[in-house]
Amino acid sequence: MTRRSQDGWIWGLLPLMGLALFLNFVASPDDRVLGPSQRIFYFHMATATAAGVAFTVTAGASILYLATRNLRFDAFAAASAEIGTVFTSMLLVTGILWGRAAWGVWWTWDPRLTATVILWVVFMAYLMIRGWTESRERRARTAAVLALAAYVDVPIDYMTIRWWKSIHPVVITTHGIHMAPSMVWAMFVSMAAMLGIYAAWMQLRLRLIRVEMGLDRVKQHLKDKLEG
Amino acid sequence: MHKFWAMVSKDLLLEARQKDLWLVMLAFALLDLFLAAFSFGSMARSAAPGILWMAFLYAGMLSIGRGFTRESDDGTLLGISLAPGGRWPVFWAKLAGAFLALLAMEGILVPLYLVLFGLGLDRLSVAFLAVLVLGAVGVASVGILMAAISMNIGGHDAVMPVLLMPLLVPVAILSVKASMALWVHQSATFWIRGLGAVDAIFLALPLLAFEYLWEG
Amino acid sequence: MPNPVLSAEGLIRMEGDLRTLNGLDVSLSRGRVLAVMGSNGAGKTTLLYVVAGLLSYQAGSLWRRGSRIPKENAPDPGVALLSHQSFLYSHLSLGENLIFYGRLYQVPDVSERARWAAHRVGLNWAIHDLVGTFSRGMRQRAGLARLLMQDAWLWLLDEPETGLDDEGRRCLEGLIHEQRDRGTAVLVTTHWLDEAMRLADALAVLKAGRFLWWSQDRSHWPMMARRHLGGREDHA
Repeated sequence: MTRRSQDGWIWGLLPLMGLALFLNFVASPDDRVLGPSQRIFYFHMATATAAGVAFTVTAGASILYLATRNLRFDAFAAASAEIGTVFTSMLLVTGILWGRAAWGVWWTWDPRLTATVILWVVFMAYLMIRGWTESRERRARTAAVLALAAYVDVPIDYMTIRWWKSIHPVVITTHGIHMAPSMVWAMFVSMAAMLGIYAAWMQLRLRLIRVEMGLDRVKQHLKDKLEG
Repeated sequence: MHKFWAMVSKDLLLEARQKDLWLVMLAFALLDLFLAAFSFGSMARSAAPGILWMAFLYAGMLSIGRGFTRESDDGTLLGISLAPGGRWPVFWAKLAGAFLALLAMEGILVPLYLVLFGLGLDRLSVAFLAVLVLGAVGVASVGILMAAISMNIGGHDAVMPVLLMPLLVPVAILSVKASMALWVHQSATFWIRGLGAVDAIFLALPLLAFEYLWEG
Repeated sequence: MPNPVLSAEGLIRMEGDLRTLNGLDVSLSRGRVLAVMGSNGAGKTTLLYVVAGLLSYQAGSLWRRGSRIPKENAPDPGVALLSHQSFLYSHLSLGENLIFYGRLYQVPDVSERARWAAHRVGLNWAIHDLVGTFSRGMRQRAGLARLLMQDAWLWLLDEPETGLDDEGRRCLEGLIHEQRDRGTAVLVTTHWLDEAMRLADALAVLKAGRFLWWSQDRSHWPMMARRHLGGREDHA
């Protein structure tokens, strides 16, 4: 398959994103209490979902790497962690903006906010440490264990608002979804669009990692040649 | 088992010989205490648990980091790996050493803080002692895992603080919350359970992953 | 030829894309001393670590005392290794270090044995001193004393003469011959032909992860060493 046809599906995201924007800004009403700032929520929730999925993929790929020692899984884990960290950054920024609008403060040390910041810091550390190790196998092994330690925070983050008395709202509970139907549609379509972006980024990043690995091999080969 | 005991007694001997760390820890704890007393004034009492655990986490980070870097001293880790008994006794000995060092620090710091904050030694209830022990287990197990990771990637100086600090936050928050609740005579069951759960996770993780961190 | 205690065929170890061992064959019997010469980066240390069980290998086969060792490899408690590092704690005294290793290897009468080991390498006067205060040569002797704290069937020595004075070298020579007479097999790496001449029964030249040449006939050694390693047969 040519590269162009591999990437063709990404164009399909365009109408999906258009639909998401339409639902977010036109088809759904203002919130009764929060007013138009409610609309940040669709991005906020969607990036949170994408970040959660990304880190779960990292954890899963790390387990698979430790089980099989196939470096492809390591590449998967690394790519997904990078993208997850970007989504977490977006999550924090949208959260800060929305918090200012809804609660009147930029930041508060609420359990959920704290857990999210920890998650962001830990995965930043994960990415930094990947850059500090020279041997590929050793890096993959260490990073896989570290990813699992870091992942512990993901379910904690998800459950904080259910276990603690947090000021962060709980939207999805066992009793259903606490929102108007048009808002529910906007939320799910936004999530789908954001997950589509995640998939597209993954494909591009994985290809880049493969190229990087190929380049490393060529460099090593040349070095061996030159040193005889 | 003989390997475990040989390691633990050797580590304790080394710990007793290198007293500098204990001085650093005490100096930090006192500084921490003075600054808190001056800045919080009459509110210092309610901030006491946070101040106590801060001194404690800092001390733990220093001592755990050293537990493993000690083994990079002229290749001793290789020497230990060659000896019979495998790797697990080494892991357990390091964990036990870190745990004992933390308990010793708690033994020094807790009475000191209680007296200096005017809280009275009657705050030392069974539940509070349980919080101290569970907190020490949590710090030791997260610390040992991170120290092993740090050693594995060439003992980069920044690895320990960068990794350990964020991962210790859950243990720290739960310990502080539990201590706070107990000191104002409220139930701390929720926080103690949470602490137990975090301990269990971070004890299980190295058990599953330690083999992978120690390969040629 | 009698049954070898150590043998390997076509041993390959990859580090990244680099073959640090590249189809190495070796065979060593009890009470024999094999010297391995090779320039830096030829794979001497890798060979010792794989034989000791500290490093895995990817292809070929390895036997220790008749049992085949899987590729993942595992340390053998009967192998004693003297590397470039002493494996000793600088904040413990020599005696404490030796007793620690004696405990790991579960030898009986551990303090008595530690005294004997320190005496054997001529360091009985320094047994209560911290290893951190030792000179390079003393550290090397202390490392040798550590080897005496275990009952090994194979000694692996990585350039053991480094840092030793004349008396230290005689001491090393005495120890190796004593071990050989007790039936221990010894594999020693060196840069110096005269050291190989004094210590070993056989000489092998290692280059790019394999033995180029191997001989028990001493009369061939100087010429071969000169040919493969280029004029480095004597101490500079």
